[in-house]
Amino acid sequence: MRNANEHSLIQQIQTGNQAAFRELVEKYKTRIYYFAYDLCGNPQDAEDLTQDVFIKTYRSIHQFRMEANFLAWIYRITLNTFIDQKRKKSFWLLKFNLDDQDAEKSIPEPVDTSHWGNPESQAEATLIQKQLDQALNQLSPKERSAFVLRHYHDQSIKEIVEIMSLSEGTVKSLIFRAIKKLQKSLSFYKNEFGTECVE
Amino acid sequence: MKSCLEFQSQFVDAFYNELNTSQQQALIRHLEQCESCRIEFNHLQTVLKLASNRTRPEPNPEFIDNLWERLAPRLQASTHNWLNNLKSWWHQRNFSGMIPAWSYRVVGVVAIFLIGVWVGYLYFKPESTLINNQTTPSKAASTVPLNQTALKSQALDYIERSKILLLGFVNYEPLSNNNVRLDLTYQQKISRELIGEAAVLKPQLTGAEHLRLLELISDLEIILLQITNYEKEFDLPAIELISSGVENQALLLKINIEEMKLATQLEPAAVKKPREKPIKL
Repeated sequence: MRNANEHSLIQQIQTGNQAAFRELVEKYKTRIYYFAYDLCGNPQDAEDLTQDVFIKTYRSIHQFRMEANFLAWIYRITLNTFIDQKRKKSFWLLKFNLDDQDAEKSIPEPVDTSHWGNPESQAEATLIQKQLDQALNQLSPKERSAFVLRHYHDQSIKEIVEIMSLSEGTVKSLIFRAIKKLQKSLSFYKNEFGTECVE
Repeated sequence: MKSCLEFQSQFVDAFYNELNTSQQQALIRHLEQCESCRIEFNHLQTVLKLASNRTRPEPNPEFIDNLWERLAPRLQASTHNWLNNLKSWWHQRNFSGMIPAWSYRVVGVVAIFLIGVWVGYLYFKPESTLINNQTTPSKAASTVPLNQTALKSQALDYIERSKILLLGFVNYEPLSNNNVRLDLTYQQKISRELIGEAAVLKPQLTGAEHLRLLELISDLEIILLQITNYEKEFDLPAIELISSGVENQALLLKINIEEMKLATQLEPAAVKKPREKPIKL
């Protein structure tokens, strides 16, 4: 039933109905924004990416085939737009030698996480959030995409295969590599990993 | 018996409950037996637990509530974009379903090949074709190789006709001639014919004996081109330029020398009589 409604909405958009498209935007905007945020890591870029995704969706909605999964399709647009923007951005960074690697290279101070439940440690929790974001920044765009789709957006491996146009083995390998890299980046959380894990 | 590596490749499925029951049981058994895999599994699971603690800030309400207002003007611009309209029309017609995807590549390759051939033709086409396109076809402009006598006879004819043409320019006096009657259409037609003939003659004048004749024809070609390119009806400086060019390069003298040389080499019968009708200027 839900799919039927969505299909009729898409059909209306394909005939140029902007009101139908508005309905679709309202339905997916938060989900796309969060996915964009997970990919970009900051609200400003996520907002820009969200807008670009919906514009691209509108422009290419006539290419959508009804038998396909719309959410996977819009995620795919998001991912392609993100990778495209990232490529352009890295080109300009390279061109002007404005490397932001310094921020990525900074080694975070070890944090004791034994008192996470303590409400007084708000500032520390914020710092941990920041470090988790930094750890995600260490991942390649593909590793990050596969990981966030699986971990934060509850997409199955098969759905990620469809979104990323990769084989199942490659997707699993990307997620595994992402988790291993996160382990390395977050290895200073001694209390969580135990002593064996600290490198 | 599966190896540790094979079990590790199932970790991702295990973390997200994507293993079937038998795979899950096999993995549990392996983890009970293999300490290193168990430690690795637990560590990675802890990483995921840590990653799950990550919270994302709420989207800016100003952005998320007014997203449509931001999108609408861009969508409007997008609707008026002819390229998007064309794409939309193409897809609505569903041609894309009828035409296999590989055919686009084939068409692309053929198009690039044809463009290459066309560019190659433009840059490397034979010189004679170029000249023949610019000049009036001449009965003398035959591409059939000539024997030595015929060649010399043709060369003699060529320089005689050029000489008559040039004499008209050299002897032209602006004060005594009426400017109004300065119409060079006929002379230009003759010049074009001569340029066409030069293109045929020159490749056949090979060898050291024809070197001077070849140089003379090349010099004449330049002057003839100047005549052909003459545009204005009362362009006296251009006429003076042509006649001074003739004088500076001593073309008439060179013509006379080559005329004599060719005449002595040819049989008396083969030498053509000078034209009775000189070209009027």
